[in-house]
Amino acid sequence: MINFEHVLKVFKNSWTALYDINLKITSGEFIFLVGPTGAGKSTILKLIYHAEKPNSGKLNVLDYNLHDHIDDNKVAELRRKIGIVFQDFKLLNERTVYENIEFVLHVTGTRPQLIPEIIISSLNLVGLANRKDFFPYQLSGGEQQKVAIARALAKEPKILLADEPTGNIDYKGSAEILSLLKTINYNGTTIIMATHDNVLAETSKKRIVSLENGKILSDGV
Amino acid sequence: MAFKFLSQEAFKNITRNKSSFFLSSGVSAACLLLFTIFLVLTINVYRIKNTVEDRIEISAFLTDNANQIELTDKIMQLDGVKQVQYISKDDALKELRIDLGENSNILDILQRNPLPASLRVKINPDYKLPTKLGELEQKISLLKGIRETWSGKDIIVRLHNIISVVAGFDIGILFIVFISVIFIVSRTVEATILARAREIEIMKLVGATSAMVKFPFYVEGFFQGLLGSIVSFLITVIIFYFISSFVPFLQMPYLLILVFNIFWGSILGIGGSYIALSRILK
Repeated sequence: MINFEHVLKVFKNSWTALYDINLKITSGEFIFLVGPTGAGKSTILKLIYHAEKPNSGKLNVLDYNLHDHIDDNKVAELRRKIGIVFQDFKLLNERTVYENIEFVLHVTGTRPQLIPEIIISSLNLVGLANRKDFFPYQLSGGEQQKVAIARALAKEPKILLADEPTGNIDYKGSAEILSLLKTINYNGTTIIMATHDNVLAETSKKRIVSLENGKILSDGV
Repeated sequence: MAFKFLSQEAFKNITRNKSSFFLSSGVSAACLLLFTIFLVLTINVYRIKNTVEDRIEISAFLTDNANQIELTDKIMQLDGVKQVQYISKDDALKELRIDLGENSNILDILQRNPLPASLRVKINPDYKLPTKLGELEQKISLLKGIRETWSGKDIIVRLHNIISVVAGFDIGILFIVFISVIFIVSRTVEATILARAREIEIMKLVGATSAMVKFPFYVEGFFQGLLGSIVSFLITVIIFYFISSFVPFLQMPYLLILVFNIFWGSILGIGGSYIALSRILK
């Protein structure tokens, strides 16, 4: 499903973010990318959703060869198969919970008559159907992240990327988010979660890829 | 169907940013108005030129002993001559009486008819250019029996000069309008893009195509230009209404001016959006 082979990523300011990364992720896995700030966790996620391109090596995601040139429409097609959740939620504050998800479904070409049902089903999954008319600023951090997850799930992604999803949330909220991600994974979605919280990852009994200074230090459960 | 939603989004955005939308439309209208006024002026100058050209003819005044039949034959053989009409001394006097109207009794004090007989030479349209007209006039004036010729060539030269200047202004103003409207619309759209940076970021992250991301901004640019063009047209109509009461022979082709405004307003609006999007959404 995802295959990194000797991937090197150097940014324009000559800072090498990833050295010779070899990483294979199969369908249905739940994998943690752990490490301190600057370890390369977010860069790996960015390479997967093609916000960045590798400088060398091979990268294959869902049968897209991302080390080759790929046109904008193909990138859009790839991203429609991937859900992304961020630490800062990236919700639109002037829109309600319902409208935030509706917006994404419309711009990704979902048939309008299907949209209400998909939204309610996604919100039910994260337990926030009763908050659909709330604005993001009326919700707690944990609830906002659940809305972001519901928005990502609405597209029925094959892969869900979570970049520090619990970074802005308290302990109780973090546990809820993790539990929710596990449920989503149980239903078949591959999950890759970047976190600097080693404890959270270790207690989950899932595969952990440990990174430091752009190199993989360890990979295993 | 996504484009229907995105059009609605564009209208919502226009409603949210009314002041910048109307300001941009207003400046577009002012620029287009400037050009429209010059366009109306140009159309009228051309119309006057055509009217004058329709009346172009060469009057060849004859000496007293000239053979008008022989001269008519010779002139008819010259290139560019369409028709030759003989005007006798008496006919010339009658025409002068008609031209003088109420003041024609001034002619009664004359002892004899001072007007010469003449040949009125009608010209083919392609010979109504100043140079060709001048050459033909000269050929006629050199014929034996011709005392003097008159063609109004100077008026044609002056009209052509005026048209060159007006056409130069038109091109200059079109250039200024083009640059101004594109600049203004692109700045407004740029501000809108920056204000909606998060929305655009989300659209890109979730896999909206480039066309979908850009579409609302093109809609917005189009409507800015369209509103500007309609306002420009309406102001032109009002200005024309007032001016035509002082200068009644002025004409305005309403449909042409409306189509012209809408076409350029829309094109420039979309062009402004295109520049802004190319600059920001790389």
